[in-house]
Amino acid sequence: MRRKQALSIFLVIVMLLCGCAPGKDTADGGQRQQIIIWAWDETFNIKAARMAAEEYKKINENVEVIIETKEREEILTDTKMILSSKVYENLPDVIMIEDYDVQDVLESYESEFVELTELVDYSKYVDFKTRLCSKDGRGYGIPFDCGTAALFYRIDILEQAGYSEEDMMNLTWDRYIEIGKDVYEKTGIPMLTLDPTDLPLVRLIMQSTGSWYVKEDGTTAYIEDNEALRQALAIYQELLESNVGMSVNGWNEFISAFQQGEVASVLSGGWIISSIMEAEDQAGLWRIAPIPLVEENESAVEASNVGGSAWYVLKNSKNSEVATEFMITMFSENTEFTDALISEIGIVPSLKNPKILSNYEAEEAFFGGQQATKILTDMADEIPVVNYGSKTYEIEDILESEFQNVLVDGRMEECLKRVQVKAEAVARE
Amino acid sequence: MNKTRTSQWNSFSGRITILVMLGISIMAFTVSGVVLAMSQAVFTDTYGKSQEQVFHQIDNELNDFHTSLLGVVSAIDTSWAFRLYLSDDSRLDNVQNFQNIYQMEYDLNKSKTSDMERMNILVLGRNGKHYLSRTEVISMTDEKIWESEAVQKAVLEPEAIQYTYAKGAYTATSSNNDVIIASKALYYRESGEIYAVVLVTLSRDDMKRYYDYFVSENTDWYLVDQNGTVVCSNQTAAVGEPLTEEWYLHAGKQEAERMVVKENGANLTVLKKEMSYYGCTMYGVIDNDVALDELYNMPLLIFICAGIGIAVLASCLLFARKTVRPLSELVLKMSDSRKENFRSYVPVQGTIEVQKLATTYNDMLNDIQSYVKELMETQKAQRKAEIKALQMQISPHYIYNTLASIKWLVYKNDVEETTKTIDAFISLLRNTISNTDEFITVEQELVNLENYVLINHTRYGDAIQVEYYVAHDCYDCLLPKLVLQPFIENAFFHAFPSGQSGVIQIFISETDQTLDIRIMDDGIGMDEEQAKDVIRQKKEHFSGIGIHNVQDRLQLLYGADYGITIESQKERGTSVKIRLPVHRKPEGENDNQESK
Repeated sequence: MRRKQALSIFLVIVMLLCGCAPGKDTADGGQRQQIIIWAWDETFNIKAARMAAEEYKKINENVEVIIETKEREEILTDTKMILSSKVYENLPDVIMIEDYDVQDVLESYESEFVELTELVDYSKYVDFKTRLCSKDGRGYGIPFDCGTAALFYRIDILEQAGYSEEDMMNLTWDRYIEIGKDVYEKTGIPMLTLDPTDLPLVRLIMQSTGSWYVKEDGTTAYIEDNEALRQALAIYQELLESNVGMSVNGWNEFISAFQQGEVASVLSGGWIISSIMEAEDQAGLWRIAPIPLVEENESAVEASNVGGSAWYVLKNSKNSEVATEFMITMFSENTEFTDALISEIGIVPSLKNPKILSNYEAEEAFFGGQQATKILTDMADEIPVVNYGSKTYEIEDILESEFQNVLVDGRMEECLKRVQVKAEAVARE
Repeated sequence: MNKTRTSQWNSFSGRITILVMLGISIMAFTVSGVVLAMSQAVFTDTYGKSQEQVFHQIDNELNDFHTSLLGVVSAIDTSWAFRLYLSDDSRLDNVQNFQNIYQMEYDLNKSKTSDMERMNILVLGRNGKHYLSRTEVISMTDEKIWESEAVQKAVLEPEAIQYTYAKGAYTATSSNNDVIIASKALYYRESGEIYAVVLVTLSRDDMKRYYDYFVSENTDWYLVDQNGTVVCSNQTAAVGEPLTEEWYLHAGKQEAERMVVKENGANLTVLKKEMSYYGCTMYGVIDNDVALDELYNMPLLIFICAGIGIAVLASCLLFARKTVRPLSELVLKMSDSRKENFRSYVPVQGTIEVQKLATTYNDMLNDIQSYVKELMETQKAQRKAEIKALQMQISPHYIYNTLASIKWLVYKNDVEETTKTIDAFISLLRNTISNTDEFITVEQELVNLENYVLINHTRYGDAIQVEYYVAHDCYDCLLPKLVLQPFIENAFFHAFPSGQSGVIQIFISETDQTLDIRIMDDGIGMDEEQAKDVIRQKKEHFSGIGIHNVQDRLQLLYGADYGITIESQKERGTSVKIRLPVHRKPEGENDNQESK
């Protein structure tokens, strides 16, 4: 009897201790979920992400979207660092990757990304874009903007030098340089900026001829015998030597040059529109035209691509699922939102059939009433498809360095030979 | 009853419980208090020391960072490319400029250590040229930048790197953030003319990697400039504001690098380190209470204490109750025992002491009962003896008067009457004095009555007749001797005053095992007062037995159910009713009696 009682008391104590032992609360208050997005370009990508976050509040107010501005390279290095260390604590949920870099990332970290093949209707995107953000037919990116390149120019400055809108159509590079020289002579304003640490113009010209730093397979360095590259560098050098292309350093000077009217044109991807339009005092002074043609190259067209990027969701981030949901809702299925992006940041959507968008044919007063989006989107079809491979920027770094020598000794052949050797070392997987 | 029980409870178990509870609480509190205080002191010390190591690590790394920064700045300062780029009279053509820019980038990258990799470096020349290391745009005009505090400081003291807190820097991404700007003016050695300024913007994220491993829930990190403004901290809200906390004011006066400060009851360890390069003081604030909370699971401690306390209390209660229950039952029985004539025994159970007590009590009850019984027996016997004595005495007056009457009959020479009277008298005397039996049959009693009546007739004349109506089966019933005589006597002398004539009737019958005897007269009757007096009076009687003790006697013999009731009405007469249990004389004894 006594023993039984003692036992029951003991049991009661044990039960009490176990039952009431303070445990960590599993459910946290409002179940607010944070999505962290890493992207670059305040006026374009970041702005788009902010708009999406704002819009998404209406759909799911429990999701808080934190957008962090980082440099393109920074996103890559930081993400790669986290992924390789597999300490996912600071991993963002969504990152933006430029089309040139995607394959490199997917090569090493394919399993770290959320596969979207089944979730995103890739058939509605232009084929080359779909190919860029997939690997072996498995889709990973949500295509964002198409980097369709165009010639954006200041009609007021050109008119000062005696050129009309008409003159800027169907240009060849020779003609462009000729006009440039004339404009510089008459107004003292160069045509464009050239940054020795970044060669988008070389890429632009190369792709307009359907060529790249690497061959079709994406891994064989294609420098020495690359006619298009040779032509591109020649044009580059010509621009530089004729003062048509003004030397600047860095992104800041590139942007501020056209924003402050120090150059008469910009040759870049469609995404530059948002930066051009920042300078509100220049509204109506800008025009859009196709890029100049490389006359000497038979396969050259008046269309090319610079940059362009897509969103990627990381599988092992804290709120990967919520982020996937958010990204697909806003950036893949929401045509209304894409419409808003067109009017706000002048995005060139990578859609096969952009006619479904109501703002697609809108006339942009900033560009003198030109249908900016339509012009750019229509050109997208003509862009020669190239395989960027995965080492674009690495090879370009080598080229930048070696090109400096060309400016000194003028020996292009030697330069390309050296680049070829180094690029082969880099491109080999 | 329940109430007494509860109050007993309170008085006994209650006290034990309270005492135990008190003891446990005092013990729990003092022991845990002492242990906690001891370990707290040890913990505060060791934790503070270990954190101090980490704290020094921050110091080292920040100084390393400063060195790296110095390297970058001097690389810029000594780079001919930068010099060319920033000089007023640059005669570079476009191509040379292109090459120069590339060289600048090259020189800078060469000097960058890994911690400077992604730094936001702005070189701003007097000639209006910019160099910005990051893919960003400058959102501030040159004039504004030149006027900014960071640049002004650098201009005033161009030899050293100046660190300035700013709410918002010059690039778009940092325009609203808390930043630390490291600034250094570049000047020509000979003329001392400043030609450019280098600004390195350190965002919170940049700084975070230096202090992140130090801070935690219980540890904060502050970088405070000379004005007492927080330049950088993990407590975002504090950045840019002056520090007014108690610990800061206290620590500011102290030389020591580690001290314990009490603030608002919180126990803080403050680490302090002057950062001479930065012109700042770095503070680490450890909230020992929170740290301890993490170390000690306080709720669990309290819970265990409370749990054990309750458990002990409960078992104590149970035990006390079990011990006390027999005792309280005992007490209950004891207090009731008087009501129950000491007949309620207590169960023998519980602890040995209580069992002994119960046994003793039960023995005591036994003793009391036997004493009472004995006493009552004795008293009964005494009473019986008394009555026996009484019934054996014939009043001398009666004898004198009867003898006088007989003498008178002798004078009258009435032999027959004399003989009859003397016979009756003899029979009467024999039956009362000589016959020592207490009980006689109805038949014998009737004989006695007849004799008595006869003698009375002889003495006072036969105006009063006595009639007997006895049920046939009642003759052999037993009744105490001289039960009826006193009532006949009473009726003779009181119911019929002044020679009145009348009848006394005696009815004897048996109903339901009860012998019913009625003595009725048709005399003057009496009121209640008189009836009571009749019972009490002790006048001249035939024997010692009077009406007054017949009742006593009957109840002594047969119990309260039996006895006498007197009903009387003035002028109508009196009726005395006697109830007795029926006892019959055994057959053999009857014969014996006859022979006697």
